[in-house]
Amino acid sequence: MPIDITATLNTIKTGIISLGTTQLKAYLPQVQADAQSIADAIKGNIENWTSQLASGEITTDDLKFLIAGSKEYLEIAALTQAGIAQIQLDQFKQGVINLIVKTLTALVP
Amino acid sequence: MLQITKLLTKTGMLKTEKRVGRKLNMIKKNKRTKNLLYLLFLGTAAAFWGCNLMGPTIASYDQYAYIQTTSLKVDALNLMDSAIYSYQSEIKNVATVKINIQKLYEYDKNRAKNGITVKQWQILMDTNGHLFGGFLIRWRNSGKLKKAFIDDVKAIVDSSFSQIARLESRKVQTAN
Repeated sequence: MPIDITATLNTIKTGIISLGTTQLKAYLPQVQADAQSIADAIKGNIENWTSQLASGEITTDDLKFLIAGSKEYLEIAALTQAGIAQIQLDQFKQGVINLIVKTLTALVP
Repeated sequence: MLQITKLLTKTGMLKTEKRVGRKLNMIKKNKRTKNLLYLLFLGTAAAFWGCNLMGPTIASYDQYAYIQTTSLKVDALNLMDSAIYSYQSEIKNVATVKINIQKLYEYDKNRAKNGITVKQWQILMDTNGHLFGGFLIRWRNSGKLKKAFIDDVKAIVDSSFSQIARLESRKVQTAN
């Protein structure tokens, strides 16, 4: 049976697009949720620290330390997101490989 | 039919038609060849990709690293609670926790493609920073610290450890 190369290439192309779309749809809401959670935590902290400073529970130096610590925490959180993005990319790459191998294998009678 | 063929041959139109027809066949064959080559390329690229020549870009999941991270988080936060006491009275506990974190840091440093996690540990433990490493220095310099401040820093350090553990938990497990 002759191989329909054009159809095969179209199958692969469509499969890759679908894979990318599905993965991106799952990943983006997660990123948004993470960003929101971090923003909420920081907002809560700043409100708390301001109140503590006013009541004398912490000093100005303490507040500076806490703010600097928050920035460093944000760096760590950003690295987590970068790592998760790399994991997603690796999974996408593996998905593409599996798709291509599966499609080409199906051509062999 | 023969007369038409003779006429067409005379005017050279048949030759042209044959030439065009041959050219069209060549184009079709070339397109098929191109597509076949493209498919072969895709298959080879997929094979190389699968053979780790273009492999994963980040380390795979390590259960030891994950368990140690979560365990050391508890140790670090407990130690921070002790900062209401003098640094000197807790110096042995400080050394123990620092050494254990250092051991995990060295372990993570030697895992392939684990640069992101290593960077996270560096930020957390930086003695010039304002997370766990910086907290220990502040405690040492101040003698003891106030509970409100300890609790505030603890919350940030807690979240920082959790980020490191979270990334580890998301890494892909490889089959053993």
